[in-house]
Amino acid sequence: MEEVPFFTIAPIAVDGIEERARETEPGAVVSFQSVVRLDRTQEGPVTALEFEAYEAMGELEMNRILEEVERRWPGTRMLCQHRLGRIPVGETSLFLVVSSPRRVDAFSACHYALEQMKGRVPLWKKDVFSDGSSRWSEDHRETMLISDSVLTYPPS
Amino acid sequence: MITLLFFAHLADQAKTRERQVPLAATPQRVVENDVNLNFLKDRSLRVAVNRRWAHWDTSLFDGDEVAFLPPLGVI
Repeated sequence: MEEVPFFTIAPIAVDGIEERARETEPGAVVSFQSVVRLDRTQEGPVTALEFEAYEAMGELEMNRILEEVERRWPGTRMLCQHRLGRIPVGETSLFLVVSSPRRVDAFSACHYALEQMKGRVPLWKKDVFSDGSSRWSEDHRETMLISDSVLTYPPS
Repeated sequence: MITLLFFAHLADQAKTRERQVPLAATPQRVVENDVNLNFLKDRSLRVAVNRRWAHWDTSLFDGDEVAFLPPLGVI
C-alpha cells in the first residue's frame, strides 16, 4: 500500500490507520479486523498464531487489489495492514478500513478486498500451543478466484 | 541459474527457504530435473514466477525467481 506498509511485525495501530482513512471526510467508513481466537484442538488450546508471508509478492498483490478497488468504486480509499510473526490470542492479525462517499460502495469494496486477499496474497499460519510446539494450520480453504493458476502437480 | 523459494511447510521439507538451481524450461521441468524436489509432487501447489502467479508450464529465463506456494486461505 502507498501510505501504510501492508506487512508489519509490530502490533497494528488500528486507531491511527482508521484516522487516516477519515482524512478525506468520507460519507462512510467500513472496517474489518481479524482477531486471533482461542481455538481448542486435539493437541490442546491454540495460544497464538504465527504468520509467514512471501512479502515481496504480497505487497505487489495488495497494490493490484487496491487498484482494482479504486477502479471499481471511484472515490473509495482503502488502507490495510497484516501482522506477521507470532500473534497472541486476542490480538489483531489483519486490519482493513475502507472509506467512501457511499455506504454501499464501502461495504462492497471491503468484501471484495477480503475475498481477493484470501485467494491471492501469499500468506500462511502456524498454530502455536501452550507447550510451545506448533504446526502449520490445516485450515486451508483454497479459494479458486484465479482458477487457471491453481495447479496440481503433475499438470494435466 | 534460477532461484527457487519455499514457504511454510515446504520450507521445512526443503530444509531451506531459497535454493539456486540450473535454468530449466518451466517450473514443471525444475521439479522433474531434481530428485530433491520430489516433495513438490502430488500436492496441490501454486507457483509464482518473478512475484506473479504463473503456470507450471510458464517459460523460465536465466535469473528468474520461482516460488512454490502452499494453499492459501488464512485471511
